Amino acid sequence: MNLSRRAAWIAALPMLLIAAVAVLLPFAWRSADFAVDCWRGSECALRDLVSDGYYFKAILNTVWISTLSTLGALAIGAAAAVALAEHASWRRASAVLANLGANFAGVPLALALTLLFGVQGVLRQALAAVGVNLPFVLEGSGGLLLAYLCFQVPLATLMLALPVQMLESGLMDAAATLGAGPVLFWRRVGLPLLLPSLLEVGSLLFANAAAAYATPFALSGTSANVLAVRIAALVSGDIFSNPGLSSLLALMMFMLLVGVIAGANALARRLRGRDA
Amino acid sequence: MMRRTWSWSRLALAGVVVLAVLPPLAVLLFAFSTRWDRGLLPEQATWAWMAELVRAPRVQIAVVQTLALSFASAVLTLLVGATATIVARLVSPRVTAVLDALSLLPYAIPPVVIAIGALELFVGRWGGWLGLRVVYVVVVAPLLFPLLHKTLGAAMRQLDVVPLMEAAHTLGASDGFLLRRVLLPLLAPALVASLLLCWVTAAMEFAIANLLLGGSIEMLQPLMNGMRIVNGHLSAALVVLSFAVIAAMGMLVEGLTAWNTRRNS
Repeated sequence: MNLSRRAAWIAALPMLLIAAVAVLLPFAWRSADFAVDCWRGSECALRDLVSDGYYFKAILNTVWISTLSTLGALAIGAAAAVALAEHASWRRASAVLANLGANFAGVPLALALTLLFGVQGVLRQALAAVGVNLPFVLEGSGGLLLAYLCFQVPLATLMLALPVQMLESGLMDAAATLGAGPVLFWRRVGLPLLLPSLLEVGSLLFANAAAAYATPFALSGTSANVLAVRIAALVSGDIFSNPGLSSLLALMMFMLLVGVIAGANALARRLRGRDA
Repeated sequence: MMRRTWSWSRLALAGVVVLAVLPPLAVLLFAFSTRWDRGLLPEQATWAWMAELVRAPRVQIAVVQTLALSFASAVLTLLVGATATIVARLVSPRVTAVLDALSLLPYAIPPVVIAIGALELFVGRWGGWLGLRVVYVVVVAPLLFPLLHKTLGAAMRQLDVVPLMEAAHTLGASDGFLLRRVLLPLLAPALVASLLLCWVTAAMEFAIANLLLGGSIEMLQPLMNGMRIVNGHLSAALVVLSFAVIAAMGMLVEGLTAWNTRRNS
């Protein structure tokens, strides 16, 4: 038996079919339902979206919390990756810890943060005892941002470790030989070369944050006003059930995520092409 | 100048470690202490919560169901996904590109959207003739595929399969023979590692377990969330137990990968 190009399509067919039936079909079905409703002019969810600022707020919340947690994670993660590139002996232990942090999201993270920073949280109480009042509540935006950073930062470190390491080896020594200090090196050589990787990793971090459902849901239940929670609550909620609006929000989230991922990847490819 | 950047990066690394370690540490301490609400440190170590947890029938049922369903999903992903990835990487860059795009799909259509879609279509409309368990197993598979595709892809790049195939052809061996006798044995550790990774990921998934199965089949993560309100110590013990199992599996995956790298190099 010899494998032909056609054999590759046949071998891939079951997986493609599963993805089409399990993911694309329900998504397309719901989107079509929404479009038909609006076309008939009967119960268009667009009207609900426009008339109620609450859902616009959810979109805004999702965008800003995803953006902030992504930028924060990229900055801390890239700097930590530099430390790891310089100290080979720390890499293994740090990778294990970062892996733990990146996976410690959702319900376990909500439990931990409630213990530490909840109303009765031990760190909050201990800080209050010495006169420091934490400027955020766990159920609010500040708490949500802290929670997202807890898994985004380790994830960024994991994903940036290799690109930074490949950049560091040799190049920095060469720059140092030519008299460039670390600041000059990073500004003129390191960051421009790392930019494509930062864009790619950043787009995945953004998608990871925007898609997060377990963490905001476990922290503040259905009152967490982010897209992922709204999409679910509009269908599974007994009181405010509005499947059409849920489909519309899912569609908007899809467009947002595809735009960010495709845009960042196209830009990264262009930057790489320019350097090559 | 040199010292400043150097210490910035070390500070960032320390930050990463704190963000990564502090939450699990808090849960660990809470799971093994009688109480922790009267000061910075927990009081009196105890195994009581862990003992209560492993004896609770509700927990046992949820653990068995979660392990079974997530394993079924991981096996399905392995069978269907590994066939796709391996054959595509061997002969068709175009199919590989399609599969690369497919592995970005869960980023564009997140689990919560997948869960709601499946709930409406497969449970709401066609629920009469589709088993809930089957729906769950199939719906989770595309979510696991990226992990498998990435792990197997890396292993195949490391093996440098294209020259291997050309050599086999020169020696008169068919692709089937090469697959059966050379590639699959060489890829076995990567396949096992992918299976374990998929299994763990599926078992710790929350959105689909909660939205699709919630109310009829209780899974581990929703149970953890429910227990949190009743008894935080028990919930913490369940988190610790899950992560202990995940750590053990992670070590197994790492061991297999390291062994595979050594063997192939």
